[in-house]
Amino acid sequence: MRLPSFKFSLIVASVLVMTCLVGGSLFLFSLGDDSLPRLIPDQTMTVFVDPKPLREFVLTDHNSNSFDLARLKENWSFLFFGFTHCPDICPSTLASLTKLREQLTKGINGSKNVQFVFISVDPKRDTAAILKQYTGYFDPSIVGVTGSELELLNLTEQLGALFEVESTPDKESYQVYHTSALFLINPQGQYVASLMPPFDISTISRRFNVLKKINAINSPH
Amino acid sequence: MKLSLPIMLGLILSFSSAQMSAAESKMNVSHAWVQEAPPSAEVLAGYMYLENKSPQAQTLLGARSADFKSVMLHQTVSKGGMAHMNHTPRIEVKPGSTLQLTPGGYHLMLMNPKKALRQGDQVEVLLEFQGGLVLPVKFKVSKERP
Repeated sequence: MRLPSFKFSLIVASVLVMTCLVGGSLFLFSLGDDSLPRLIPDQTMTVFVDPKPLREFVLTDHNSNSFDLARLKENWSFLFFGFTHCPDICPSTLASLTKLREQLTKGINGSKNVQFVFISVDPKRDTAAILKQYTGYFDPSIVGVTGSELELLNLTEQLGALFEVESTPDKESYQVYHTSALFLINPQGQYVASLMPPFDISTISRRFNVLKKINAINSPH
Repeated sequence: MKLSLPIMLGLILSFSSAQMSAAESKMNVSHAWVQEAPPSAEVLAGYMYLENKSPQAQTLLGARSADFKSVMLHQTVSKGGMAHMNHTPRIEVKPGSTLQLTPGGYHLMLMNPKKALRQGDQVEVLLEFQGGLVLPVKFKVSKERP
């Protein structure tokens, strides 16, 4: 008779301990939730706890001006790598970016300092003029950018973005392989998050607004 | 044994319409659209839902269109973190199921449009299935998935 009761009290004790632990962690969680904006990782957006400061790079924009690290400062920048001869992923991503821009900038509380950058990894075919025509067709505020392979690598290697141009010197139409992710850079020129398709506009804009609040706390001006 | 031209034409037409309705009864194509791209674009992508209403698997083997120089079946696949676009010789739709062709996966690669296509335009594509069935489908040019 004694043994079962001892067992029973053990069970009661462990249940009590568990309750305290769970209750305590719930309490901590709700405290954290109220005092600080936070983002729980999901499939769409990978946010880095420590944003990665970018090093200098120089590319050329669709107006033939240089596009360097300074152009990323003071703005939130969504970067997308692609090429204009891309029929599937690039037009659908640019169409998504157009909608995302509308969503993020609309209304009096809309973000004023957001830019969208389409970086062509196919500089042989995508000249400044072609890029301007291409991005302008979707949304004239999208900045078309490109550069030589080495210039591109200076940026892509910092982001872990991959690209590869099929080497077929005698062929007009060659394949270009590229990362389909979006890269988000904060106004301090730090790489803060990567986003994977499919791009759900309302989820991204909601998470972007949380990210802005976190950034305002971490990088006060 | 001389058949007059109208009779011959009639026979051909009735045969082709019978073939068409056979294809239609097996396959239902909806949400057919072409992603709008700048007029300079040499390649466009076409998407659709392929519903197989028959008890057998149906296989799309190819497509052609008078509005493009050529049409190919393509699939975008992610390899080593990069998007690759591969030619695919066939797209199989399992019996009683619907295959959705959407951005980032299977699509029709529409090469060299004969004229610039804008939102609201329509193009006709003939889908060629295994067994000789040919299904004409109207694709709507659109900025986003309809």
